[in-house]
Amino acid sequence: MTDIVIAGFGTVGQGFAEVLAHTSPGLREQFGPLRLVGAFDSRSYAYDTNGLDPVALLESKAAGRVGKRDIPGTSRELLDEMDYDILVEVTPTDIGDGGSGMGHILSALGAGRHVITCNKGPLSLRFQELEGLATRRGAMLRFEGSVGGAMPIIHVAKDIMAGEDITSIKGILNGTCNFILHRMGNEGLPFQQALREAQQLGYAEADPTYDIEGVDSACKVAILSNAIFGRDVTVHDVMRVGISSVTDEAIALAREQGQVLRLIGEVGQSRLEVAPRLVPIGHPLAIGGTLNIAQIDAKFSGPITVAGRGAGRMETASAILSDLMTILRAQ
Amino acid sequence: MRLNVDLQLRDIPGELINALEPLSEVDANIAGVVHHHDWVKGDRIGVNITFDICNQKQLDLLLAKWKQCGVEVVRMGSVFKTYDVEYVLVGPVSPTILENLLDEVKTMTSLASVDIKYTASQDFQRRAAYVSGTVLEESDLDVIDEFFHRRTDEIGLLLIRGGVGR
Repeated sequence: MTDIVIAGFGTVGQGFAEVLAHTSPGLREQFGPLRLVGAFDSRSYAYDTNGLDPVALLESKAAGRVGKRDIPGTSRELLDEMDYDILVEVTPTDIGDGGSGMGHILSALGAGRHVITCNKGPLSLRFQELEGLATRRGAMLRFEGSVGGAMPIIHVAKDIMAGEDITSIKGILNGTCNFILHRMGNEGLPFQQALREAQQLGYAEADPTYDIEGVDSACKVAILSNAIFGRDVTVHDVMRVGISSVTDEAIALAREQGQVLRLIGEVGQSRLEVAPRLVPIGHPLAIGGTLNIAQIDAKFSGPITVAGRGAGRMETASAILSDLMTILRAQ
Repeated sequence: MRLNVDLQLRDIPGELINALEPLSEVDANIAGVVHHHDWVKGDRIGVNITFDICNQKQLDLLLAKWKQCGVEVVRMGSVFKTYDVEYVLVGPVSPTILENLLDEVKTMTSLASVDIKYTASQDFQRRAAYVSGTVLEESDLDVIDEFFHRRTDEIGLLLIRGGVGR
């Protein structure tokens, strides 16, 4: 029996609850039952050591609350009181101080519990400290969904390519920016119009600053740098240029030369940056739409390209499930 | 260094191997071999070879080996490997600004060629310029990147670099 708590019951948290409700019999046979014992958002919580029904929780959330009880004190204090094996930490990203997610992860790892998170805040601010704490307490910290959603870049680079000398990773790490640049390039739309279209389709937030100024991509670059290259950097160490100054004329001029513009995150020997770049038409990174894609360059294998849906309820839940399997297999 | 040579070989079987073996003996890397059956001079035919060799000492050794086995070198020249640079500059960019920037680049790098294209918008903020060129030294790629990054930041231009496929 593996007991799970979900911290953060927004889009991704609900997606993972749905995954738990539909785990295959084969999975239960191999690893034993997976039991959801706790879930909370910023206002309310549900907790039962005998297990909660994920479907009932989803219905309750749809009606306005995760559980009947209000969170007493802070959510970290609440979590400290809970008994579980694995924390799924999916509260919103805060790159100021890591937000409540930082406290949740510190609480879980400090108690020797495994953590799966998609929260870029803690990982792009205090990565090595969290990894160190996990190691000392004999816990695992997994975060596949934090970079590229369903695109399995961390697993590929860290595990499948283990032993390789990875020299650089370049990629499109934000689907919103890619959609905007793709529409500007293909339809000749000005930036503001492409952005409005992205907002109408639900790809961009009402306040799109975090995406279009490259902050989201910079978080992911910092995480890749720490996780794959073993560095100790924060999001603030990443040189960052967004796409809000890209003009339709610049895109048309690039196209005349057989190039498209893409917001590229790059981790290299001497580079840690997010910036709009020229990409030759036909190159894997010239991909359109909202997909995420990354090219891992290594000494022996040469370039390896991975792509996938970078965000979304079930896509990110799929990445969490993959991390969960890794933890269960290791036990 | 990369070299391109025209050789005259005796037109008999095994002579091409005779000419290529010394290249591997001095650790040269062959980039291309072209037979020129129309370059016939007496009993000899022409072969053009492009190869990389690490230094002058190895080259002298190669020439001695060729002489020893009867391979005649009729022409030898350098082939310069070049590295592409390309940028799009966005914002109030003018020919004067770009020429000044490129003059500075030429004084500090091995910039060998450059080509510039502009858009003709009346709106300065939307304007863009595409700069492409070649340098002879790979290390200059980072020097030019750093220079353009610093100077465009000072001028207030958005710099979009190429080199993703590099």
